[in-house]
Amino acid sequence: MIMKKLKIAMMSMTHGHTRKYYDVLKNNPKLEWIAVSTANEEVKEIFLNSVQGIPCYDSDEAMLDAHPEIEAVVLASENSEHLRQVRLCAERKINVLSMKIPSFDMEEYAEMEKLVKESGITFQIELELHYNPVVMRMKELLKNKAVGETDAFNATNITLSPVWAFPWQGVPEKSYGKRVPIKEGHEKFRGGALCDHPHIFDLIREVTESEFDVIFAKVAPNMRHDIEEEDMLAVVGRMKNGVIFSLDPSWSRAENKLKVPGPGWEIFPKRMEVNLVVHGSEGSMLVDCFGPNTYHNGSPENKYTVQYTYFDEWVGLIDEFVDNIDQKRLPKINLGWHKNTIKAMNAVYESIYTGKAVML
Amino acid sequence: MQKGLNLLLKKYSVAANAVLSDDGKTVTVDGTQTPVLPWESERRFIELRNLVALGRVGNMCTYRIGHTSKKGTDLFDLLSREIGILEFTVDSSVTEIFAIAGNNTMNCIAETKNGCVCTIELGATLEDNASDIDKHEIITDNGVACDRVVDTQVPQSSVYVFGKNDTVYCDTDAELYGYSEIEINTIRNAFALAKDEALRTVAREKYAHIERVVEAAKSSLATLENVKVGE
Repeated sequence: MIMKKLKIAMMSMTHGHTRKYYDVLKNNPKLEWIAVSTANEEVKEIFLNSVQGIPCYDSDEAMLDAHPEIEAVVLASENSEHLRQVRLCAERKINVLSMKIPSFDMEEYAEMEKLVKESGITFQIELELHYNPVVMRMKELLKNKAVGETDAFNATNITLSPVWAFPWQGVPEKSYGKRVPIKEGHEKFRGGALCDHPHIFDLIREVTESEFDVIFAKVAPNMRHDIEEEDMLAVVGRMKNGVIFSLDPSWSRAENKLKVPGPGWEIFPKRMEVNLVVHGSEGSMLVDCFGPNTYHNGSPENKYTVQYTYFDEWVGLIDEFVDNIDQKRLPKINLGWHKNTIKAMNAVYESIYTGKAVML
Repeated sequence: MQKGLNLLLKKYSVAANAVLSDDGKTVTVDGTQTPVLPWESERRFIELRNLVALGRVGNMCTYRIGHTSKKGTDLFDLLSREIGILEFTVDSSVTEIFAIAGNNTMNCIAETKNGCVCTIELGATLEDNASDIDKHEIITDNGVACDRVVDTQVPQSSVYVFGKNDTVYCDTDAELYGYSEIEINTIRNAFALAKDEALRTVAREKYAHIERVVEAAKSSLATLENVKVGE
């Protein structure tokens, strides 16, 4: 049987996850990678040095005009570009795989929902933890009540800061959508670490089958004095079903200021950590979503370093996207589901600003 | 533990009459009771404190504390200990705290006078035969200091025996060989207090402050507000 391949493209190429798609778009048998559009000369050069044989355009419109056969697009762009690109795709009935934050502006968010509904396109949001095997095991164990009824869900989603490689993440207008001080009179602005780490805010909703009830958050002094946004914060609260939580979405791992991510990016040995602690009525579960690993003190820094052993999440993510389009199925992470995650993240900023707990 | 304390008093010719309470929470020295602060005599916390005090790490940003203990453990006792560890290791006192609790869990965000924002995640969920699981990670603008190994989730030990009965040992003190870690730290702290009247005064002040932080946490639990710690 000859399978019809989904004709897919990528836009902007400025997002930190851009390179995660190179292999999967080339090697997934259900896909035909048609083209990319790049937002600037810098990312164009990085792309052309990384991938050969894929046509590259200087604007989204030029790409779409040249390739009316495109059926789906990965929006590998800064958050501030998402609405414009969704408009472009919706009017051409092109299905969308969006990066993790469609928008923090709930009016923009509502317009995206309207565009998707009216155009009938598939709109999936990239939250790759859903395709992580450790997370799958954790969900299965919780479903089987391995530690009884869940009482607390604590999670880290801590990384180095990507702002040196992906500068838009250091610009409040491009990351958060506008320039808002983190607190009155504070020198830092919204748009930093929190905007990079929605995953644990999404995961807790799924595993507790509940929504956020109370959120209290504090911003800490920045690790990086030379960026405009928050990089260290702490969040605690309670879900509507009584499960309490502690979430750490900080950029608390130091990095070298590389323009292109690669070996030697990390200063702290482990670049990224998603660790979960689930306390239940009959015990506790400790979960490392990205461990154990391999370790070395080789080049380029000759410092003890954690070499990650797997990053296969994008394989399952793209498989599901293709199947959702093929079967006209509503993606699990759709705009409707994701809205309460975004609202919770906005509540974190509100709590930081007011110094008070926010009731949702 | 009293036997261990007597051993040290005798060996080092300390004349004070020091008596540990059965639960090890206080020591009575020459008739005056003083709270024992075992964490101040625990090597990993002394080293964390040194890393901060000597400037080997930078200015405080955040501090991540997690402690899971046995079922039935009083979470406020656990909070007292962790507040003590926080204040000792960063050499700064907690000024405000927000707390929220589940059935056998409690999460807090505390802020210290020097600006460190600390999360404290507590649980009382483990079976009687389990060892406590804890972690203390100080994150600064010039590095991280932690009492646990990178890319691990549970405390490590010094000896692992895999035989008919798997056994683990974590020996840290040759002079008090055979005592458990908490016993050693309790005895060491009681001994330090027995030797030094000024230290006893400071310990009483420190513990009184810890109690005020715990009261503030209780108030926060009731009101869902961020509560300033009374002086």
